[in-house]
Amino acid sequence: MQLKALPIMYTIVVDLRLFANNAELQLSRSGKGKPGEVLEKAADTIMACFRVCAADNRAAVQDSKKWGMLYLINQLFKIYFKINKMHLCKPLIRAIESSNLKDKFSISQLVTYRYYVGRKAMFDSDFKNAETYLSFAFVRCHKSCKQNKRLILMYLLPVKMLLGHMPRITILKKYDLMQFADIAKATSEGNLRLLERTMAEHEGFFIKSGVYLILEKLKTITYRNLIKKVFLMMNSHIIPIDAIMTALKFMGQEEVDSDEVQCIIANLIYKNYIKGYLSHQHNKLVVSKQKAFPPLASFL
Amino acid sequence: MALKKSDQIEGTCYEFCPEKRKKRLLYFIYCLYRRQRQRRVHLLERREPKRASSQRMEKDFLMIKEYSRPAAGKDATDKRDLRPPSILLEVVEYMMTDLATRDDLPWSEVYLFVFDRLRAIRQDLVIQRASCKESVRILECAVRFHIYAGYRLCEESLSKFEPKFNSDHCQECLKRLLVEYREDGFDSNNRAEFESLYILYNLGSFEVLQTSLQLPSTLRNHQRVKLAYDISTTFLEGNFVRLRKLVQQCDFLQRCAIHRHLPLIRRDSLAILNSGFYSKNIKFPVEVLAKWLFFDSTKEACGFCVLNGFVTTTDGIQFKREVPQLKPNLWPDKKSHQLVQRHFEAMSAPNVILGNQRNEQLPQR
Repeated sequence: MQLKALPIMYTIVVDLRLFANNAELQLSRSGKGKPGEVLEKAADTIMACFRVCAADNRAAVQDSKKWGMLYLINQLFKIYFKINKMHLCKPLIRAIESSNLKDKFSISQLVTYRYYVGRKAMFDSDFKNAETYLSFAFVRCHKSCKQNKRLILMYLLPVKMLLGHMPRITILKKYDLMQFADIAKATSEGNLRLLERTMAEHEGFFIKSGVYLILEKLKTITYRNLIKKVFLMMNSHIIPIDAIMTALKFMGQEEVDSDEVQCIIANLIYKNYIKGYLSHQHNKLVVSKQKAFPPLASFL
Repeated sequence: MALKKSDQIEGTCYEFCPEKRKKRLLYFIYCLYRRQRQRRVHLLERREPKRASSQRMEKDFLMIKEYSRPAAGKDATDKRDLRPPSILLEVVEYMMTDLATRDDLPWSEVYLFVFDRLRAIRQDLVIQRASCKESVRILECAVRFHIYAGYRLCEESLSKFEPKFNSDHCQECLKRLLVEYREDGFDSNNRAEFESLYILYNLGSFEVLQTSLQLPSTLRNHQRVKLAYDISTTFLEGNFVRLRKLVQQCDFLQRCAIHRHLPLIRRDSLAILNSGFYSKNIKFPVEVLAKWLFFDSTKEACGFCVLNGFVTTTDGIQFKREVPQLKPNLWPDKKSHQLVQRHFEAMSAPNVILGNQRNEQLPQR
């Protein structure tokens, strides 16, 4: 019985959200009301539906209103992400993760759900989980939904890159995400100059999609790759800091001095990107004889 | 919930303290002074503190409405008790110019008094749902006051100054202020200053950085905001050497805002240094550590290392192979000459809080 009523609720809830979206647009065009106000009201109503569904403990599993939870949560996610209130997602995620239905919802609902949870994990700097959720969403998203796959990739790519996996050009071309091409290239080449230039060039796009800060973190991998190049050129386990400083200056970091270079390297050692130690007195970096630059996947 | 304009309450009390409460207070003094019990008129509310007279007249006092918690059954919306924004601003300016400079009692006392009265002012603003030039100006002063006090009183004992409480109120004022800028469109010329203070007060906060990226590009590229953004990301990167360089460009209040993160900055930096410079045969020079981590003396730096379980000798610090268990983040309990103090003497509280020295360049070293 109840399961038959759920699709009706779904339709009403989507209509409500779209209606609120439009109202919001009109209000902002005429300069009235506070941004997000109408959407928040819509969220309150959807939340009321959610509470009814979540509290349905008495019906048998197959008839339970609980099946409606995930659809409602996805609608709420859409609103919360739009009005920048991501912290409100937390109790909803907990409700799903503690539910015994959590893997049994329909695939389309799960794809949407994990896309948002993955994005949230990314903003909380929990990249391992972000990768798991977003990868699921990307793999299971239907191949005809190209636009959705592109959206998922927009977040999956930075996370993958941070974990040391660079994307292939073919996939970037296929999904029209060439903005990431030079980022990936710069990172793997240790080309700081190209990295900064590309970040500046596509600043608007990266900021709008919310990955700008994540991409800035790629600087760490870029430093590591640049220093690895210096190491290979010097062909020695003892590298003068000055040599690395020269490389950094060549890459457009004109302001660095040897103290700062030491600090950058200390960070890389601290985060396991380089095995070795620094000597402040001798102004040198001594790298380990074995696996001085361990593969990224081995520790990230 | 949106409220109609007609629901808005406009205060009609044109004095610093409502008549009703003043009368009650005066009556209180009358009874209490004799009994030598609880004194409800603050020293700072007596105009001439030195004149001791048994027949105090009302004009001897300049009383300011105290904060009182909203409670059930209490009508907080009585117009006669609410002061309109223009009067509130006058109170703020009076407190900052005449009271914050008082040296006849410890500044922690002044702080407690001003804090309480500011809170009442904010309460009056909230009840009247005031969002106007005046409320923006009041919140700006409140934020500056809390940041300034957070630094000035950091060495006081917990019974005199509660850093967490101060910080919570500061955050509240900051958020409220930014909402007024962002949503109600009250753009004052100071917006860049406060956007930057918000970033620095929440140093290393991903969320705050994320929202700062959404600012209109003229504001985002404003020198102050850009500097704050750079400092916060540099902190996240762990590049404390560069952090130190960037801080040199900061003005006084920005430095105060960073100062509260000093224990965290130092703790993170020490962990990074320990991993990066660990070798059995090498010691790390204390002078360098002192310089990099904003210590005023090598002695202070040594004390910090010892506190975190490191052995220091005359040649330097011996780092350890394993990552040490570092002390959890505490509030700063010492002023830093390098970071703030050397600018402090040149600043007077009213100028800092009312923002009169805003554009003045700090002396470079």
